[in-house]
Amino acid sequence: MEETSPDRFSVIRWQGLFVDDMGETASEPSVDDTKDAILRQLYHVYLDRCLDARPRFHVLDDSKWPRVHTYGMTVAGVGSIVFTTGPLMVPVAHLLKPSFRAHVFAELERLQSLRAGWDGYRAPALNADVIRSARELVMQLSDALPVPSVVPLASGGLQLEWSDGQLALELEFETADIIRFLQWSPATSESREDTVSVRDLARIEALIDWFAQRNV
Amino acid sequence: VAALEDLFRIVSAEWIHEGRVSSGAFTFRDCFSVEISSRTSGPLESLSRVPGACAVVRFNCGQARAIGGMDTRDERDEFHPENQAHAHVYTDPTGNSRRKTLAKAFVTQCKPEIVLNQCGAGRVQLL
Repeated sequence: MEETSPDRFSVIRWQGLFVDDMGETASEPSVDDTKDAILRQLYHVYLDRCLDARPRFHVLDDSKWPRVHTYGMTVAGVGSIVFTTGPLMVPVAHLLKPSFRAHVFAELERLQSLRAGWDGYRAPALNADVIRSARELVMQLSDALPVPSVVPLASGGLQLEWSDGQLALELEFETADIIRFLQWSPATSESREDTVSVRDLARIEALIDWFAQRNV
Repeated sequence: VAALEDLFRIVSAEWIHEGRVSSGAFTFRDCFSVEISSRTSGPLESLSRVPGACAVVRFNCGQARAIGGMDTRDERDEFHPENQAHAHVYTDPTGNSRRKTLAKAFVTQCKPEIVLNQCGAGRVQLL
């Protein structure tokens, strides 16, 4: 990735708060700061705040700063911010990618604050027991696992979702004790749906391995 | 509802990830609400009925029935009976053991189209 040392920084609106670049104060990062360092700061600002909704970025001045482009941005800012310099588009997801646990914990904390009706209809708030169960499961899993999307469901449950084209794995917490999973791989006829106990750690790890091994 | 009809499903930003719709948006044990597109002036009208809504997902009624086992019925919303565009989509009552498979098949094969609202929640926007 091209290193850039901008002498003027964009103003970023962070969930209604104006943040001067990546910090809460108005102090400017030094000209020695690289994009990498700034992006990491940005991500940590997000994690520190555990926002209750997804962040929005508004780059007001990109005369020196590479342009931020629109992409579906996950809550942790993973895998979606793309900087461009001229015609060159440089994905920087790898710089922002948090660990499995950090990402899921941040998402669970955010989802915990969703109120009834969060889907625009009549979805209840997420079941606190399900959130607790998901947190406990994640605590027991390796932190080196691929990072999933954490998706709330209108039932009050949630699912961890790994997806890459025609390959997907979904672990849906039907209750605090039961996970309904879907292995999705129509190209290889390996699709399968079943349930597994939240306490069956070996089987859950095997499911995630199934996805990870095919998603290389 | 006729198979040729297109349907609008208003979705939360929570269900759009990296430009695709999560199967979670269609994972229901009973039914979910949609609007029959031919009875609206377009997706923006449907969006206007749900303050803060992020996007409308458009999909075909017949495909949803054939692929996802979703049966669309012309029924009013009990809380908004004046909305004549409203319908309910019922998931396969015998299919709880494969409801996730059906929802996934639906979002991957029906390729529902996403129409974003101005709010752009969860998105990066240039000013």
